[in-house]
Amino acid sequence: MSFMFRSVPRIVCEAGGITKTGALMKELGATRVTVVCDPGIITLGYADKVQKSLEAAGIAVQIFADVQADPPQNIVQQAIDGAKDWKADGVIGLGGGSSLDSAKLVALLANSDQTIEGIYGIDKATGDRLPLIQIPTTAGTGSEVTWVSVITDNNSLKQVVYTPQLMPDIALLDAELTYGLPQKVTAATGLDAMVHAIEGYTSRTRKNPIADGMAVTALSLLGKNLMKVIENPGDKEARSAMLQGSLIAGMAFANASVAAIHGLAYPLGARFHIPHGHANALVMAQVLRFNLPAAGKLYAELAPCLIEDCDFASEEEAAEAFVRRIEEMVPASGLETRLRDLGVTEDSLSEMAEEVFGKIYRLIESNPRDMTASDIEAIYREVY
Amino acid sequence: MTIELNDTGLWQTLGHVDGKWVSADNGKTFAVTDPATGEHLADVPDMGAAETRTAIDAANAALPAWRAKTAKERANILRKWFDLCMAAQEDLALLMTREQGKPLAEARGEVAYGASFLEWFAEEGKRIYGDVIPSHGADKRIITVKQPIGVVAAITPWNFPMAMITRKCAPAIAAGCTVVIKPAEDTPLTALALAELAKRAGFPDGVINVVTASHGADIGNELTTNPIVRKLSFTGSTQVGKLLMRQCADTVKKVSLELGGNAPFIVFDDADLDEAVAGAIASKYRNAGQTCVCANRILVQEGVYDAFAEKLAAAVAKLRVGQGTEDGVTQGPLINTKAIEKVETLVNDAINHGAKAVLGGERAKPGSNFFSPTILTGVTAEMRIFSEEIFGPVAPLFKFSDEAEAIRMANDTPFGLAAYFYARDIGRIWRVGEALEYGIVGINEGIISTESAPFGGVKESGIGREGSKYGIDDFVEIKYMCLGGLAGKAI
Repeated sequence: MSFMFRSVPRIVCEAGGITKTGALMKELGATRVTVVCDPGIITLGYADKVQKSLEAAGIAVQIFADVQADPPQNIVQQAIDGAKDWKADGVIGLGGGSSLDSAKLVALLANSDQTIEGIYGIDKATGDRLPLIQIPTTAGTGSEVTWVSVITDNNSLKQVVYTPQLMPDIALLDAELTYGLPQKVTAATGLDAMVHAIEGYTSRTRKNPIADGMAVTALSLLGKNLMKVIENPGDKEARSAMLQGSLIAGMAFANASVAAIHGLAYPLGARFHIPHGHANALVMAQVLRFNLPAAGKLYAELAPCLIEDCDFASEEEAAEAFVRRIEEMVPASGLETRLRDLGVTEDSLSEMAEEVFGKIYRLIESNPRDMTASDIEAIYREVY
Repeated sequence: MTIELNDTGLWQTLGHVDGKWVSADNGKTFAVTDPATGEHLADVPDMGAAETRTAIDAANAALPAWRAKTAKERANILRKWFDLCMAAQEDLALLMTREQGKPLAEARGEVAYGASFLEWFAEEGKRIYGDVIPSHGADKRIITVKQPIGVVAAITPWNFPMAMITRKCAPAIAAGCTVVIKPAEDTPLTALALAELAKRAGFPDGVINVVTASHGADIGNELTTNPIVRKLSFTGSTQVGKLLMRQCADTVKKVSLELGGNAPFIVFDDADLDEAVAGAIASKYRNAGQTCVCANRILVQEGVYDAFAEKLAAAVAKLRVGQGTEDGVTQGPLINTKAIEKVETLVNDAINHGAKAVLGGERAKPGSNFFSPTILTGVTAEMRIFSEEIFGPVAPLFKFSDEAEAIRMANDTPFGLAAYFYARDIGRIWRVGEALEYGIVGINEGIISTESAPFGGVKESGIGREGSKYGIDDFVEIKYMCLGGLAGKAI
């Protein structure tokens, strides 16, 4: 087996740790820092906290608060231009996956003459990025520890930038930032993180023992705490566990890849603006059920992460229990489970299936079971 | 967040440049406090010339696309800003009361008044007409067009934290200009909330920029000397206005200045005294006397002097001093210690020279920045209070014997912003109205501010007019185009 494992150099995990942002940025040598976030982060007062901390460290702050979900390329470009014009020498991503993914590109391209289009794909970027701290406010995307950024181009297509420079200098986990997450966001992002762990563990292309260990740890943390934080949003320990689980799952999938669940979710986000985590949740149970014949052993290995104190008579039973547990969790999370309820049109299903098979095949390749375009369409129809 | 807002997104404590929220380059901040309680409300960036240059560059970069939009496209965004401001009326009013001190009811009124300029100029922006002028030659045609002047600098005061911004920015933006705003150091929070609402309304990045500082000199210097800025609009003291005007000279910027006033409020013996009292209260005590059109000198004809003084005292005694957030309060604090000391000095000077405080005359209870609503009788032109702007809740009553003396006293000042008089005789109304050397005259009326009328002063009270159909003129340049060679053969 040969593999490569990349990791963020430093993880700071501390409730209330957002107030240390300034000191951490100072260690990285930045004096003018652009904070990339969305308007909700302003409303919640988190940007204010980061600002205060940076100012106290004598660091100048610029806040770009226009990030949108499934970040449109032109908005990311505005953030890059803004940081460049303002001569930023450090970047902070603050928010959910969209903000963190945007921040990665800002840190990279504000320090470069390359264009966004010019670095779509794998390892196209040259040169160093600016110092970067990522502060997630949802427990789900794991974006704070990955070197991939997914944005939506001007033709509504998801585009991916993979390049090691996108890994931040520091991932700062402050569970306090997630205490107030609305239930649906908690559910969608939490399920997204679980998918990261599961798909990382079952990847056919880049599965490796380090990622495996992380996936198991992550899925245990996530599986045991997701329903807790949905039922009791103020459960601080569970919130902290979710944030850690999300980060660890992020490290796992980034080094092992995700698969068909993510593949099928992409067009739902790009075309219908269904939040990424929710899009995953919609197809997650059906894809796992589809994969069962090929991934039974792996699912059986993961079953104890979700189901405690259970002696399974056989591998098949454990795998079946695992898939059934997911099938129960998704509707119990409070998220809508039908595409039709989220504005997806029936005539788009086959088109989306073609798109997944044709343009996002790398994620089908890593799926534990082969999938054809008609398999994909069948899954869409099942959840339509 | 020290102020409980319904819309927490309006709590902004960074400057706004090129659509982003920015700190000072060195991260330095200054404190914003509640004048009623001294409570620390927020820290905002203490910016200087470099940040201002960045803001000017952003405004300049945004200019070509903004002026190229149709008037209607600009109007739609302005109108949206108006709608958002009115929807946020309570939050804006609360911010304003906390940082400025005025009672909530007045603050709500200012939000509506401030927003009205956005609505008005959204409409007026569509009517920036040029001319076709009868030509001086058969083969020529003369056409004029009005074009936006360019990047505009707006320096605004603390007494109307919102309205002075909208009154300047709305016409500028409607005309196709972009702006850099420097709000007063005492009241930046309202300005920054306005910037947030502007952002939501959909203004492109760089069209509206806000820079903040504890001492405005560096920003003011950059705004007045940077050649990119083509126009300065300033509301504030005459002293600072003169300085800015001098600084603008080297780059020959167009200036609009709305400066200090020394408003006379004249009560003739044929006036309806009750109406005059109501007008005097409205004019004198609004915002605790801290407006540039507040009656500064109340001139009363000798025959009705005592009766007017008595009625006025009875009415003023009913005013309630307190924190602006309390129900029923009509008189908030003065803006800061300096303000209260100045009022105290002027009142003491008058009393030491023989005036009498029939009401008030000293600081009021609720806190160190409050001054009792005051009436001084027996005041004469020799006292400092005759020639200096009080900016506090003090009504000095001067006596005059006839119309000629009233006009002479009223005009005996380098200022010329607002004047008021109460009379019934129609001949007197025309004579006095025309004789007063002021930009605005309230006749049997104490409240003269409206977005549909031109606001501005003469003499050392300023240059230019704000609001009304004339308000846009200060933000456009007339270009005359001569089209010649039209006498060629028919083809």
